[in-house]
Amino acid sequence: MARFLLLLLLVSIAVFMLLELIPGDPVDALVPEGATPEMREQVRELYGLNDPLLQRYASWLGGVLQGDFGRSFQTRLPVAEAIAERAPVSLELAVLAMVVALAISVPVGVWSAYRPGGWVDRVATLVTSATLATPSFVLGILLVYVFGVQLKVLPILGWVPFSQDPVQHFSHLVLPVLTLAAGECVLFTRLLRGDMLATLQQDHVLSARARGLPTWRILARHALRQSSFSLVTVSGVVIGRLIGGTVIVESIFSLPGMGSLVVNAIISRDFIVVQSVVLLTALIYLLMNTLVDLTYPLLDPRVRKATS
Amino acid sequence: MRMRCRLRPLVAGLVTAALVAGCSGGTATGSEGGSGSPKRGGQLILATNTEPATLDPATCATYGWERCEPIFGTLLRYDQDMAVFEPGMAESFESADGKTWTLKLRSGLKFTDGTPFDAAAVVFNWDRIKDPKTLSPAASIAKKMTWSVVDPLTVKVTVAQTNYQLPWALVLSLSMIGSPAAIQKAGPDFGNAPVGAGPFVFKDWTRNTQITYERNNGYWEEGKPYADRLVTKTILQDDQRLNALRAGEINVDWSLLTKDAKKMAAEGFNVYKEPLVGGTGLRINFKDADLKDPDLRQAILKAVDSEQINAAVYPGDRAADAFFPPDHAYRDDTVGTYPKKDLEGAQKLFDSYLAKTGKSSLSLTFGSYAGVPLLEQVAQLLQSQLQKIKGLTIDIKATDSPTLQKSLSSGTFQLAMSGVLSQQADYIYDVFHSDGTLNYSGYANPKVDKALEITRSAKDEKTVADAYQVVNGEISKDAPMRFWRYQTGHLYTPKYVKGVKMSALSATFIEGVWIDN
Repeated sequence: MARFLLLLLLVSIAVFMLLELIPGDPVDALVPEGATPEMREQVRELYGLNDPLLQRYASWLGGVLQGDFGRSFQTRLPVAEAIAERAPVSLELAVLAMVVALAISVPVGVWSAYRPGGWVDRVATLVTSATLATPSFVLGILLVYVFGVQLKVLPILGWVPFSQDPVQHFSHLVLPVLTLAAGECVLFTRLLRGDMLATLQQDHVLSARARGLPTWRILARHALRQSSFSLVTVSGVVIGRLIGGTVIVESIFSLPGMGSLVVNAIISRDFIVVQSVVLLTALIYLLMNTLVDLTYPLLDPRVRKATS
Repeated sequence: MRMRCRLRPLVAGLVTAALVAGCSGGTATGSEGGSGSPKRGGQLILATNTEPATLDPATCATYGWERCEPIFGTLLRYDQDMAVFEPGMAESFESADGKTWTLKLRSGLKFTDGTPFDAAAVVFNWDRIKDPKTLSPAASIAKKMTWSVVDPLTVKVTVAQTNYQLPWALVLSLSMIGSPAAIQKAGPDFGNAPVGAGPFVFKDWTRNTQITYERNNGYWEEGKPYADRLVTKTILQDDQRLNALRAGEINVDWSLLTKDAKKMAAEGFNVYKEPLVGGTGLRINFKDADLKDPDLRQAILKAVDSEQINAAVYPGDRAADAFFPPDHAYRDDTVGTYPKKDLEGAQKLFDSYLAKTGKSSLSLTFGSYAGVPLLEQVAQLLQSQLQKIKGLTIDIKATDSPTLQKSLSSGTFQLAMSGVLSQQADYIYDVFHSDGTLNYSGYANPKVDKALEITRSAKDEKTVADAYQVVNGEISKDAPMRFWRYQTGHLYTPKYVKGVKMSALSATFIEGVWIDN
């Protein structure tokens, strides 16, 4: 726990210092064209930019510890409000993309490993190679063009809250989730296939086979569980990345997520927003990693024994 | 992306001036702009590439006009086709001498919070704009004006120097009046929960995504607004907006690219055009230690090749050869044009500069926008064009918009990419007059100053046009800002959207737009 908090503290210090190093001044993004030096000075005072670095850091951190993330320089809105508005979008997008990616890649990865060189394996290799070579912005725009512009079957833009219209909510999510899931699918399938190939060569699998257990049981219980270590580890990292790093997909589909919040904040030197979002993302990463660590014993009894 | 918020805001003004004959803007091609009798109902969804940081009218009238006009309306309107100012939220704004003006308001007008839209409200808003604490971009105009309440429906406005162009301010930066009660109550948060008396009522705002508005049932104009609901979306990429229009997810799109206008007209959409004044150009700092030398400046200007830039980056746009386009009433080539491309001449001038200063070579910094692909291409082309002068090196320093803006306003640049774009000619007073608030080049030409003063003090159209011809010639010859294309603002709509009239800031007065089902 102490290590956990120390890491968060280090991240917050690093972000604070990095933002100080960016050329440009928050004041430039706040004053109107032709602003007088007095106007600039007044803005500096108002936003506490004249205070020493350490004092600014301490007062921000003090606020955060009490649950007050401060107010955005640009919008004057509480940062917590902006995050609360956008985090659910990013979270849902990330979780759905993960679910879709796993739902596709687990069966495909398992079957490809079970019948290497079979038609499933060959098609999967072809598709994953093609997807790997296609950046997400190309795929996103392609999907928009095909399903939105030509076929007109799916909406291509925006976000409809679930409470407003559940059907519209999910139909707006189809294309962005597919775009996001595609890249992860490739990673998961390849990872799982590799690990499964190795596991299937092991003695306990061969003995299960000799005992005449059904194929699905061997694959699901004996091989998949043991081959999931890398997949689970990577999934933890990926979901952390998906929550804060979906800016391209957000931009293509005009979604109000955390990625565009932080990019806009960096450009307009809205440091207080950047600091808070990065801190939150770091927290999610750490939580995910902890969760992944806790999953290992469930996957393999040997880990349980080793730790007990 | 701040760039979006800075470049477009500079689309700050209206139609090529009121006074220009033969330069009517707002033409619709392949459309039936306002035919048939307007129908009520439906939802308008407008998209542009950026949105303002706040919906506070003190800022938003300049930096996000089309997002705030639905909430506040504007005191005056401008009709491009007829080239006249028209009443808006105010009944009239008149002056006999161009110095003392009388603003007459409509009786019985109320903000949507029920408080009266009266002279005191106008004065409250304008006082607030003048207050440096508000950080309003309109403060520079407000500073030159004084005002007082005459009676609940009348405000007297006085300017020190005769200015017949003053009504523009009431269409643009000083045009929007918020409810004083709501402003006092919300304080700095008013920009997040604005209250006005315009055709629509602000409903909610998802930042950088969309703003929704609903009809103001108490709006003063009979029958308007026609639409029940308005949504303004922020979609950064031009192509994404076009796709959204094709897919029917938006029904009014905005763009500055001629190639898109051609494409959309061919696909059967209504295309509305409005010629703009200025654009994004190469700005030269006349006060810089190196660039104060006229030979060096002329050498640089002679190396610029607009044709090449447009062919590569803006296909379909006309290459600029003077500040105003060739067929413009404000253009007289006998006074001057941009220096023509002449590499040999450029080299000679540059060599003479080197000889004068005893240097063997020169390196200049060129500030440009980072993260805007089209402008990055232009910067690289300009760099290679200028470096054809032997001995001259151009270092591109690409930064985000606020940082570039800082170097401009503090005069710490040498060469920089900079945008000044408007629909009306009067704004160039501030860009090229030696006392102008946007004269970052430190340009001072007595002929230009005098002519610009005439454009404001004269009432007669011919005198104003003659003065602008002098301005055009001089600022083209000296070129403190050298543009490479003439820009046009466009709006695209499907055929069923009617009543669009190009108005301020390449936008439309949205209350008059209707959907023909």
